[in-house]
Amino acid sequence: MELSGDEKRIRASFRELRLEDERVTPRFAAVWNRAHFRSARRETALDFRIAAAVVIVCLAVFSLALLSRYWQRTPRLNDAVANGVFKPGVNPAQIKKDRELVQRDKRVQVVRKPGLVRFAPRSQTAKLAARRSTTPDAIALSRWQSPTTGLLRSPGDEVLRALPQLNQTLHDMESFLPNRTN
Amino acid sequence: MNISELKAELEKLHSSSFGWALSCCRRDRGEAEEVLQTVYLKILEGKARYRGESSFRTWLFAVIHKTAAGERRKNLLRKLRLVGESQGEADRIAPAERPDAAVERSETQTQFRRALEQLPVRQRQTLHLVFYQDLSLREAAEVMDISVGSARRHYERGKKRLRESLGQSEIGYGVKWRREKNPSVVS
Repeated sequence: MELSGDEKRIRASFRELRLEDERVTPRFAAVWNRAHFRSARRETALDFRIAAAVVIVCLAVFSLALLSRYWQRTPRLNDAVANGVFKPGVNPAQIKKDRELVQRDKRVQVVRKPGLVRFAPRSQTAKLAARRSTTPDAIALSRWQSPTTGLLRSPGDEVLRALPQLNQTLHDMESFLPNRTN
Repeated sequence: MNISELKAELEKLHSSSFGWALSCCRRDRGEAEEVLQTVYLKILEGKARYRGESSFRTWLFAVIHKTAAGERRKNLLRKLRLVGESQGEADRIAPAERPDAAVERSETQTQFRRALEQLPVRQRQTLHLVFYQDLSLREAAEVMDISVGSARRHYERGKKRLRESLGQSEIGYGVKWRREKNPSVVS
């Protein structure tokens, strides 16, 4: 390629610039060694980061294990409540037994309180406390019977509770009707 | 290519690489050194790998170009953060030139450098790759990651602008010289 006068001049200026740059160029070994050092330092930092991540993961797993262990123990109280509440045919001995069971569980919970406070979330703790205070009341309420329940019973209760069936005979139906004298 | 071969190649091209890094960093020597160090680090860590798709020099210059762009972005963000804190720090970061170097430099060279600094980045870099590094336009385009057509356009425009600014400064210099030598001639 044929260079014009201007291009020659530009090239000469660039050559001069190059010579000037060569004078200030840092030594290759110095730059290379610094890069090497940086690389080694980065590797160390990376190792440290990996170690820190492993420790954090281990801590998280350990705390999760502790929490799950705690949550596995608490359902006993709920079972007791559930069994007591929905059992038909209430008798005072059973109520007493249930109350004792609840009281025992409550005592166990009180003993475990520091652990609970430490590991359970605040909302869970509050819910548990509320549940504990309402459990005996719930049992008592579910088994309560009005003293006037007997007064509500009458001899015609069965008739009032049963509906006449469509396939019953007229004769049977008459039994429901008042006595008429025609 | 193993690490010792790579090191030998890099050593051979070290001076040219530094010149290209200087051009990519607006002639800031400290920044250029930092960029070159980062490039070597990338090569050492295998983040930049030569696959033989182009010449080694073109590949190395492309890596320097990309790294310089990244560093420039980082520095810009750093400076933006520092603006509120202290102006003095920003002044310290700005490139400083040895006073003796400026004295040594010829008037023509000073004018040339000034004219070069006034050019847009792409035009300046294309001229640098062609005239300073003796690369072809195709290689320059590869380094800058642009098409050959764009590289040619930058080259032509850059050359024209450089010629114009040098011509203007020469006229100005001539008038100034004549005024100093013979004040009665130039009104």
